[in-house]
Amino acid sequence: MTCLVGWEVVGRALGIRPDALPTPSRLVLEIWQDPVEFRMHGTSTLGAAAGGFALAIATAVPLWLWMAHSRRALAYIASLARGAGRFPMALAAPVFVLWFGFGNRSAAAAAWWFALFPLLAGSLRGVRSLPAEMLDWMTIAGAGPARWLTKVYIPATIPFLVGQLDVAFALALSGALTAEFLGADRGLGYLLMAGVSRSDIPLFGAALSLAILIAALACYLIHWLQRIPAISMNEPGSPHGASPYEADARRGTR
Amino acid sequence: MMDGWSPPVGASVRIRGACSGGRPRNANDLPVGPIDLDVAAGEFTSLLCPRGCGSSTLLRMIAGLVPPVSGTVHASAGSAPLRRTQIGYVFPAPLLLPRRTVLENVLLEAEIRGLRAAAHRERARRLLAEAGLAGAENSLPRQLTHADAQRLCVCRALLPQPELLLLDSLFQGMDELTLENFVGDLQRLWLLSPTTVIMATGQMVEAVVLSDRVLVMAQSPARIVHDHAIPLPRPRRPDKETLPRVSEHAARIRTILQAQGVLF
Repeated sequence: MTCLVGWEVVGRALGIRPDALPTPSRLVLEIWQDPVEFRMHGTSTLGAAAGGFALAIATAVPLWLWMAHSRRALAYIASLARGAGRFPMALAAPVFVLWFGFGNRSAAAAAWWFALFPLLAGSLRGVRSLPAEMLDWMTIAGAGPARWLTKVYIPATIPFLVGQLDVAFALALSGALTAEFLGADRGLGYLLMAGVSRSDIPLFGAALSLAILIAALACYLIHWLQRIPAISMNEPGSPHGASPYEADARRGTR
Repeated sequence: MMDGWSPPVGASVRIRGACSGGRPRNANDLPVGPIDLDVAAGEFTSLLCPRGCGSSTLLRMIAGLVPPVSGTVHASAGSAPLRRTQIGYVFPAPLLLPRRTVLENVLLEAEIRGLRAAAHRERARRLLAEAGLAGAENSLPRQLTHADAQRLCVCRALLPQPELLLLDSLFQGMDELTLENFVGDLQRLWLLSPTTVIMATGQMVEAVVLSDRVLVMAQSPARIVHDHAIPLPRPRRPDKETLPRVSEHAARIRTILQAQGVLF
């Protein structure tokens, strides 16, 4: 807030032209003048991002559960995350635009792709946090796949997945924006593109601010979810988030 | 017996010419054998060798986690062959779920075995009390010391009244004073909930204090080089009468370890 006020004051005091570097009030005015337009573009982008985000969760959860039962699955997913995850994600967006055309679907597909990797990375970290002896213990106790999943695997690894939801949503939003930027007839990414091609910096700034606002609100909601003790990365009673088994490692050296 | 606990008979183990060293399930599994070993029902036996020698692999072989390449591993409870679920196993690192309390972590053993946790709550409380964790039932694992976490794991393994208890290097990282208390608690738990115990350890004095027999091992491949009986009365306390006799046994075992080149 202080930054915004400071920006407003400095911008006015130095007399910077609002067309070159619009002050916050100018950006608000820009949205205020055409709320219908911005709402349409905003909901379009939010819908694409949320849809892609939901798809990414729907993809990551089965993979996460598959890894519970198969070392091979772990190897596949780890190499997928290493290989495809390091490929510049923005370069994948044009592919989706070509496949799904100019519109919401390509934005949602790009959002899915962008959001998938943090979720996979989270589940991988979760699986790797489990000591190998856990499986030996399950074998001796005669615990089948169902009890392994519900009693140990899911409770122990879900915090790692949930901990990545905020990152995943932010990336889903940037995926949607990227696809829209490259080719779309609506959405905040389209407005960004329009702002650039018309050199309309206030329009560009307003679209960007709206996107940041959406990301911030969504992350706020997700952080609320991430504070639920049973699925939180923060161990109960611990001042900061530590991986559950780091505590054991520390104790082991005593 | 004591306090109306129904003592299990305890399993007996019979190993003949068992070797492993085939495809290891765990990267840490070492070549073992050939091993010939008999453990009587209700006996406390220690496998004494330094870490990295293969005693853990031998334990895993007894538990059926590592199949023997040749030879036989046979365990029986009474007249029936021992089922794997009648084994309790304590691993070198405590496998605790950080979001469950101490009591809930003990009851996890019942839950993963498909038993009703509520029916085991009372026994879990008693085991924890005997292990000196009475006040810590509702603590979380991160609030425990390493030794207390291992106490918890022993209680957990004893919860379903196993016929055979396998203890794998559970003294790792404990200092001498912690160890003395831990050994006392372990002995008490075992006397109250008697069962056959096979323990892999590199602690000579602790092995002597706890065991009926200490099996001295040498490495590559892991093999048993000496069978040393400890006929001291129980419960063994670290007092003036017991300590000199413990040291006497330890000294004899040391001579064997030196002769085998395990100690220089």
